[in-house]
Amino acid sequence: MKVQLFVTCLGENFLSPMLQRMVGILERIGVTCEFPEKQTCCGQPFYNSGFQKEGREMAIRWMKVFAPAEGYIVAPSGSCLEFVKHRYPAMFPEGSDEHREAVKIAGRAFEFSQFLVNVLKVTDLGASFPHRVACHSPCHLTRGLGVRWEQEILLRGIRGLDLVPLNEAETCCGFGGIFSVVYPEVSMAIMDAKVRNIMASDAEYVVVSEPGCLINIRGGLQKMNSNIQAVHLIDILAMGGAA
Amino acid sequence: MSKYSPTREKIFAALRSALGSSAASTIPPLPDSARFSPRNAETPDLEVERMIREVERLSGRALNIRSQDEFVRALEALIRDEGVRTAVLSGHPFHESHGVTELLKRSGVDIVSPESDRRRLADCDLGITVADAALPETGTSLLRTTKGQPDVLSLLPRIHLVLVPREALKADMQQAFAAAKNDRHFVLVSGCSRTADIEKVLTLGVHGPKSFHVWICSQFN
Amino acid sequence: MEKTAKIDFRGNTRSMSPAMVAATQKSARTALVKRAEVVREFGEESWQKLRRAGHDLRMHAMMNLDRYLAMAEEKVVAAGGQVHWARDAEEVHSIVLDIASRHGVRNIVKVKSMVTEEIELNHALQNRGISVYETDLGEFIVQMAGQRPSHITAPALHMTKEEIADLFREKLKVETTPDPGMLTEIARKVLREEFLSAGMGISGGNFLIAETGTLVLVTNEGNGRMCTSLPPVHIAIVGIEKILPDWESAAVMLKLLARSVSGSKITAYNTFITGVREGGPKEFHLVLLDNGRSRILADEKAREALACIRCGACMNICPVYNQVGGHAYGAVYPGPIGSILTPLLLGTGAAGGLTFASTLCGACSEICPVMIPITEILLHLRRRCVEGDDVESPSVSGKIRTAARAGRYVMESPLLYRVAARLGNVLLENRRDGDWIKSMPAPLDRWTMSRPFPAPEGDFRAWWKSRKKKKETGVNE
Repeated sequence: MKVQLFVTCLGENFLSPMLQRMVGILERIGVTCEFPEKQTCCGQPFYNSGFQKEGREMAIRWMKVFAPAEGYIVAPSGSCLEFVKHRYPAMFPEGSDEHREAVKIAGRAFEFSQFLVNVLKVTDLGASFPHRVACHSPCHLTRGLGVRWEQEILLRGIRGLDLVPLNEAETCCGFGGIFSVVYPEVSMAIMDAKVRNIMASDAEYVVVSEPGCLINIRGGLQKMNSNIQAVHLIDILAMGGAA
Repeated sequence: MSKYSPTREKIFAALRSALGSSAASTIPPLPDSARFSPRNAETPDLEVERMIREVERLSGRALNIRSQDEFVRALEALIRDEGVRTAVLSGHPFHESHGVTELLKRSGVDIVSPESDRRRLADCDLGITVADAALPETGTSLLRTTKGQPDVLSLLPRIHLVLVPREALKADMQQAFAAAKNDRHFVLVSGCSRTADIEKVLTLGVHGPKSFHVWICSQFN
Repeated sequence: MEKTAKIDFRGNTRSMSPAMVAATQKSARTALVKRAEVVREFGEESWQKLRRAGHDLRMHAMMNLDRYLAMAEEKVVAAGGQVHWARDAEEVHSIVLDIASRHGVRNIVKVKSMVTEEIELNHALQNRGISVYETDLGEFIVQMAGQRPSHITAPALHMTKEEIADLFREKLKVETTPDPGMLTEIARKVLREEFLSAGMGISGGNFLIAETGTLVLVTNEGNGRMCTSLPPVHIAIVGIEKILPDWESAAVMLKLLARSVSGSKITAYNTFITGVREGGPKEFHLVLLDNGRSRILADEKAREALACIRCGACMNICPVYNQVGGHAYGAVYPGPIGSILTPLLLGTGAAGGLTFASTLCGACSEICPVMIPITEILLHLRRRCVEGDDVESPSVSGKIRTAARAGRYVMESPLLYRVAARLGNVLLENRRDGDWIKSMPAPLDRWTMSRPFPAPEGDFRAWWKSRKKKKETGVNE
């Protein structure tokens, strides 16, 4: 089974170790990983900021990079994946070549936890992680892609892991892409509220399986001098021996 | 020469241009997805129970009255407990057939005519209405506005008592509407006048009645 | 569209009172918890079907708006009512003042109505020496305090009971404790007098049922009934988008509305008014207002915004609204619905900033009882701000647009992308503090003012390349 890795801009620039672990986990369960080296940004930051023309052009370029293969496309991000899966087909008029291409690609594209649970039907990777872990629900993963339970399923498959409840888990972390720099005070206030909830959960680790949110929340916890570590689900699985 | 004002014509022109429609075209039927199936009733006894439960959930008091005796006792208790000295009741045949006027007089309550001056009605303690329909799903009573039962009866006095004939209970709002939709005015009453505008603290009896009673009356007498 | 002052959302958010924000959050939380309970009781699957019905019937009404309006008008007139049409605020003022002067009206009692705030009706009446009393408790309070409502269904949400008690003591010259029950009793007495003596009652309308020309008022306090039953003249001002096709649709709406507002299954009073009735006001006037709605209807990607039934659920769940409160949105409609309606009504030139006041988390679209795709409409409006379209030219500065487009070329080219990343690493090296970069040059200081930026870590491509090489050389050996 082959997958093309969609690493995401934020992933490749700030979460390189997490990407390496993702490769490790997938290879360990028999998946062959390919990395289309010409990939860059999927266009979401531009499209979502109103630069739809640029977003569309970047999408066309992105699709050219990933189109030649037939296997799955996997990303450690619900947000970027949702953009490719839902927005790409919606961007182009029906009947156009780009639309056809986008629909094909959308059918192949999956977020990491979605891929493991729904495509590979794998819920137990033989990992063990005896710690208290809380889980944030990233907006685009849950509301956008409808991937609501897969993370929890995978976490519950980890031996010794104590999944602690997180208050307002489904509330946004305040990142919102450019929102964080257009309205920084509000972004910070929303982030502070999320961090307060995380700190009140008595967790040792908080799972944030979304690069943008992860960077945001990590920074927020650092600001509060918290010992709670914000990590991707991939990091937990890898630390638990699944990579 | 159009009988309509220029403003109206301009608005309609803007709407038609927005929709690409013309005045003559007929309205298509609503799609099935725009409809929602009405609720089905449970057994008659369960519907009565539900009505009572829902009224109490709305901070009202509800009773199931099965005999004239029960009715008399309940009315006397209400008069006594809430210090009723004046009452206004609608000119509804129900009141006649259950001797409501006599019962009130017997308990020393002054009867005020529904056609009285508003200020008189506002000073009244108790307003008694008869529901034309009731909805157990939400504890709601439908009161049609008629000459004999003006809507101020359920609005101005500080206590509102609704008598609900058992046959008035309907499974769903749609059935209740069927009887009243061509009226010039009716109200759905579900509990006391209330607000939470001050710090989200629930307060009853803002502008309307402060006390709300619903008595489901089986056919008796 | 006339030029309006630009709304400065960021500026507004920097001056919000913590007490107001706290009150907003408390109220939102309560409403959401109660709503969740009644939705659970209704059944999640049924609720989704109900939302779909709500959306589809509202959009059916919008797509046939001209014909439904004509139907409603005919029915109202047949029932002895009078129908007036108004394109903007001024035309409504004119109509209302004319009716008031014909009847020698000095005092008006009013039911809370968002549309009357939209057109600043009270102001116009007061300027002509006519007293207008807001009679919803929350509106009564904010009117007395000279403030704007901060939430569409709980206008005085931002005030504490102590502040309200002080206000009553000062303005009403009464003695009172800060007890909500006592404060309510005072308001009840004062307003009863007004209800009984007013020359006119003014209301909005939650819905207008085209089938019979029936105005629907959804209220809890009883003032809606007072204002529309007691005075001799009743004027209802209703946005043209409030149309419902028929009574079946009204039943659907009423199932959705109270649950979405605050988690009650139904409000205390639902009043259905058709024209003139015996024992009621002698005259009934229905004023149908456009004020930009026909323009929204023409905007294909935005027209679902007209389906809004003003429940406030979107703002209750919005993470942005919950941190800033209603006033920050600088207009009549706050929260997510405000961030699309205000730019649609006033133009993105004045209110484009509101379209960026969202993290696009999608919670609003998910909770909206009539399934308005709020985030989709936000994206549509952001495009209008940046690229312009056939409705408006771009409102984002040319400088920003140029910079962003330059940025795109970097992000799109594998070579430039890598170069920029390496360059970034080098430039930020001296700002590095362990794993973190605590401060960045503008505009990225907007990030670091709130939390540290992660120092770039590792190099996936280099790792992949070296792994590939190892495998290849390994195979070749």
